[in-house]
Amino acid sequence: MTLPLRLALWASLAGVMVLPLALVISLGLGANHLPELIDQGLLRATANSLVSSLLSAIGAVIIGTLMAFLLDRTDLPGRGALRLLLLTPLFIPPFIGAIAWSGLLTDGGLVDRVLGFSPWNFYGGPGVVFLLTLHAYPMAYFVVAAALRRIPAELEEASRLSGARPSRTQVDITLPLIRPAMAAAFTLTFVSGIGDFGIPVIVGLPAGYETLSTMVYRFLESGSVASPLQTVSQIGVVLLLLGVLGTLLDRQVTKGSVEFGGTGRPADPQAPGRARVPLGVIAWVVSVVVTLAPLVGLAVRALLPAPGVPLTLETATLDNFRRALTASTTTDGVTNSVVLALGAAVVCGVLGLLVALFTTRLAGRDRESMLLSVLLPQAVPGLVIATGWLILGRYTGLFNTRWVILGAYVTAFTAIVVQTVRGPLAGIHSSMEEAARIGGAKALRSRLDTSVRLALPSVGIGMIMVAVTAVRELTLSVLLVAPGTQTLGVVIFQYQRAGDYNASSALSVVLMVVGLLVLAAFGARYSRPATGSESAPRSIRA
Amino acid sequence: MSRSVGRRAVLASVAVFAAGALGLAGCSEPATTGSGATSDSAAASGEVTLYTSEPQAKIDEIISAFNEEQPDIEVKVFRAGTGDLKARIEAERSTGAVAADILLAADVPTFEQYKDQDLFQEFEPSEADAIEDVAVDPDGFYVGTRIIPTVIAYNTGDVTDPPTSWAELAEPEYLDRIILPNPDVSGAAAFNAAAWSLQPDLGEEWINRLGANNPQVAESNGPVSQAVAEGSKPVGIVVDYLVRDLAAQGSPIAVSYPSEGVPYITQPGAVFADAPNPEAAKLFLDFIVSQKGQQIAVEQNYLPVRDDAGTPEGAPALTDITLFDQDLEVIAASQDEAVAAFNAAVR
Amino acid sequence: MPELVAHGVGVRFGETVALDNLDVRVDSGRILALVGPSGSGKSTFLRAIAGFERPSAGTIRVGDRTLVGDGIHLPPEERGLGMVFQHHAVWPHLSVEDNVAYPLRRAKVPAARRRRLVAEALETVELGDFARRRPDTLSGGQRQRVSLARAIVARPGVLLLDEALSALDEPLRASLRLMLRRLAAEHDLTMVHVTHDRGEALAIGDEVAVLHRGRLVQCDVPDQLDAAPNSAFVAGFLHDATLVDGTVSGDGFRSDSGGMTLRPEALTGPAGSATGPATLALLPAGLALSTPGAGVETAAGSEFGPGVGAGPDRIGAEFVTSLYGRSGRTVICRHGDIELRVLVPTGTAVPTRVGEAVGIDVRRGFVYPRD
Repeated sequence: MTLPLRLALWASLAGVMVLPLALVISLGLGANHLPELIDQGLLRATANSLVSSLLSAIGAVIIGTLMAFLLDRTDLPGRGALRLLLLTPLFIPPFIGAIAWSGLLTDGGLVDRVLGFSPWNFYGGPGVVFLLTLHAYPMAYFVVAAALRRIPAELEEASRLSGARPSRTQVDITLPLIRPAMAAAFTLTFVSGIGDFGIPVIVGLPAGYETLSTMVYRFLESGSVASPLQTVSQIGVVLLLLGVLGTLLDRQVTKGSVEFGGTGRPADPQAPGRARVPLGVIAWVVSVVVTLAPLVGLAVRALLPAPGVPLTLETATLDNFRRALTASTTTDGVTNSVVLALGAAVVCGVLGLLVALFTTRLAGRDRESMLLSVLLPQAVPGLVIATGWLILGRYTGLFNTRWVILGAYVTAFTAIVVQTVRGPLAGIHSSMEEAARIGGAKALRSRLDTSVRLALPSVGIGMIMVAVTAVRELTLSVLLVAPGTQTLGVVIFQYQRAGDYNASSALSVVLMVVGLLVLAAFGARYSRPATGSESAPRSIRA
Repeated sequence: MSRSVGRRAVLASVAVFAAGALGLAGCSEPATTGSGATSDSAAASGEVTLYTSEPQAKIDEIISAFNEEQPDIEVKVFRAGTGDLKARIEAERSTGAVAADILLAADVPTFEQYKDQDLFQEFEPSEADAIEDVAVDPDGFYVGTRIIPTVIAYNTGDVTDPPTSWAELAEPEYLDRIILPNPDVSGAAAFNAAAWSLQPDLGEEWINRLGANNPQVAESNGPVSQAVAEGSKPVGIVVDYLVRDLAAQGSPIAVSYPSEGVPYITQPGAVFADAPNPEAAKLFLDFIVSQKGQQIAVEQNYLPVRDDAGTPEGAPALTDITLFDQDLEVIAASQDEAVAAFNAAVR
Repeated sequence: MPELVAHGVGVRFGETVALDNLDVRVDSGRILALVGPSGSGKSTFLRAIAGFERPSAGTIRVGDRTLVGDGIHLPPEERGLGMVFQHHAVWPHLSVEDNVAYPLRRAKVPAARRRRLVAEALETVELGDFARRRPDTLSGGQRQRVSLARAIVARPGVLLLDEALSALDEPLRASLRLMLRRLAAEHDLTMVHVTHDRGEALAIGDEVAVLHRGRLVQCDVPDQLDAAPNSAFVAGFLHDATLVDGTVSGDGFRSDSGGMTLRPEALTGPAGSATGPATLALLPAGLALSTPGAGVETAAGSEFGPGVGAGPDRIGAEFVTSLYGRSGRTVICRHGDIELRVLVPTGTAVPTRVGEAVGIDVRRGFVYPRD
């Protein structure tokens, strides 16, 4: 009974997960464009990609770990609100963050106009690293905080009783135990940093800071190379190698991760002592800046009638909002994005549930390979997935339709559902299904009635996460859009690229406000660090 | 976990699935490649797909005005930079036929190239005599729709003594103070690279000295005008209409016409040879170069291609502007090389 | 080794009182077993001694060192105690040796001495060859012993055990109980052992303290707890006694339902000679089965009083089932809706048919005032 289903599942996985990537690799290895690419700056771009991702990953892990200790291990007052504020970058797509911060910090930006000088010329490498770190630390926090929570209190209490002060305990006992999580957070942010597209294009290119993703975009969109698809596939192979390398490193480090015995009782909050006031102040300042600054940067530009005009109560206007929101491409973009996001949520939900089911509860020797094929796209930068679907689209005539974009979403986001569902599914004791079998249900039925039913809430959560990620993403669709199939992210991006910052800011403000409202609505749920079942998304594609 | 909750969840998923599937199917796909769509050849109806680098808002205005005269023709627009458009056309050509009816972009050499490759069909505007000579293709395949010179723009708040010649921009006082568009992305910028290199008193030497002033390279003309208006760079090299657009909205930016003259492009439009709906396409192009269409252009701050449409506010009359003497064939032939040299000097 | 003295210790969690006015004294070299139902506060008390809960009242002293009281509340790392947790808490990223050596490192003990002390501690818990092993290669019992070695290596003043044996299999528990008693005796260690297992508490403790809702109900040597439980709660909790409500008068005990009467001679306990409402506790060890077939006819609920049949205080009941135990067989019978348990020596013949009539002689019944 399960065999046809298994075969169908494998067929879908092969078509959606493996095929696009295989196409990129085969096309990329087909001919040698390396000399040309190197001429065009491939080496420098690779170095830039590596450096910016490494730096941002290190920064994100440090900030995320500090945050985890401060928010989940002390009794700092107002921790809950602080946590919500510090997590806001999670709800802003990175490219919009880039639009917002560049409106603040560049020459001629808000800070320049208010203070009379620009403290930091934002465009270029440092700006890219800053933004990558900013948008990566919330995820690092989730991963580290979840690990912190899993450490049974007794391990640290035993250390205290052995004569170690709280700070000593953190260093000797706590940190080593969360090291695998820190490594996992590092590779996670590294991989997503390499694949990020919006930030380097918006903030890096104006200063000539080229990365592998901007190179891909440049070649595909400028038509200045002879066979763009092939050339881009070669870059794609490089990106893919970097991503897979990172993931292998991650597996290597987490191999040493240990089983905790223990009651699972998490540690009690400690008072941070003398450091309380300065820590608290820094945390509040950072959280307010991180939340308000982009909003202010966007709002100012959105309310201006024209660039360079000082913002006063008289000059402020809602024209940009009206113009941007009523443009036909915007309505197209919103419709497309919503439809695609819902469609992706459904397909990813079904596919993800089936994969989770087959890899946790049904016996089979293909478990490992099935799981790998679904999780592999997470190691692959978004642009490479998009390139794969570009090639696939050209060969199958799906090019210029919405289906290629949907395909790219499914490839990229199914892993989210799988990871959200696997934990709960795996944790269901087999006695549940056995009880159903003894009660008279056949093999598959017993599973459907028990495990699948129990896992449905997680599937729902996974689907919501897919929809929320897909509706605002840019990287995947930017290479795949066509007349009439533009997504919201691409619409905003194109306004920005065309130099219409007022319109792009207006739309970004709307998107941000909606995102923050969603955050407030789900605030209670997300205000505590993730437990195993409601784990945060493992990819930050946007 | 009761059975009813599970059932509800399943029903909900099915409902969402159905909605999603209907939504995807229901949204009509745009005209795809290998157009099997046989549009009814009645001239005044149907769908026209337009590839253009015209800013979105402006093309929308033109289409609205066009639809007042031709309500049954639906114009679908794909707007992107000239480089993007070229890449898309290349891609479509390599796997079938081009999916669009009209190309309207600011890149004459590309039009020349496509003309030579038989990518266009013949088109002569119905009012060809009213149109300036420089705008009409002698071979009868495309027509220029605006005159777009590239000028010097400056921030009126930051600059009290604006530069008045191209040569001045190469002076050391302008180190780190200039911003200009990327010739890989902007068709106009690419054209200008060639035009400047061929200009006798400017040429390669001037380009190199300009490069020594470390200008910032923005992706296209839009960001250049924004940057100058916001004050992040005080001086920019940019197409004139953008400056007028922003100045009209109140930005502190103004135009300075260099003494040596200005390079210009005409933003041609042409109909693709394999266009699905050529009749409607030609009607649309005709409208753009009609008096009505050109008046709209003037309102949008463009210099028109006919003399009966007026001139934009704040702009000198066409006769008062010194235009470069441009040999389109030579420029087209040397553009790639000129762009490479430009990039080498500037980046 | 010093003695542990806790005086008037109270712990509140917000409005809830977890511990109320606890007075406990453990002399050096003695094991105090703390037992009680869940929520009785035994773990809270242990954690208060360790320093993880802050008492709102009272003092805790080890020898002449004040841990809590007079405005002092020493942090755990300064208390010089040892603690073994229910789930070992052996650090997975350190070897056995490094685990055990940790307290010595904190005390800045020089390397040579450290190694010697670690080896001794491991020998004591019979893990002498395990120094280099990693915790994930050890069994649960072995890890618990590592935890024990770590707790004693720095010669703590008091050793605290928080349900330390509860997660282990029975044979292992038995052997570890033995090890702990030997440790206490040979190394003169003062121990407080918290457990929810009554049998274990009675087996291991030199003294057993029974806690109920945060209060110390009775603290005594096991024999006394057997011979003289001081309240209905202790009788019920420690001995599975059946509790019956009734009245005590000059004529003895009479149950409220009227179905059970006992002569004053059979009664003992705090309310034995008083008059008024009382609770009768019938301990299994205080009951005996009357010889079957002694002409005792009964239907459930009928009256049997003194003088009828053989035996002075006899209750008529019906047989339900019996459970084998090492110290005797427990026979369970019903008298109306009261369940009675009788402990009979191994080998005694017992009824087998459900519903068979039996007579139960009350040798000793404890009465306590009812409030």
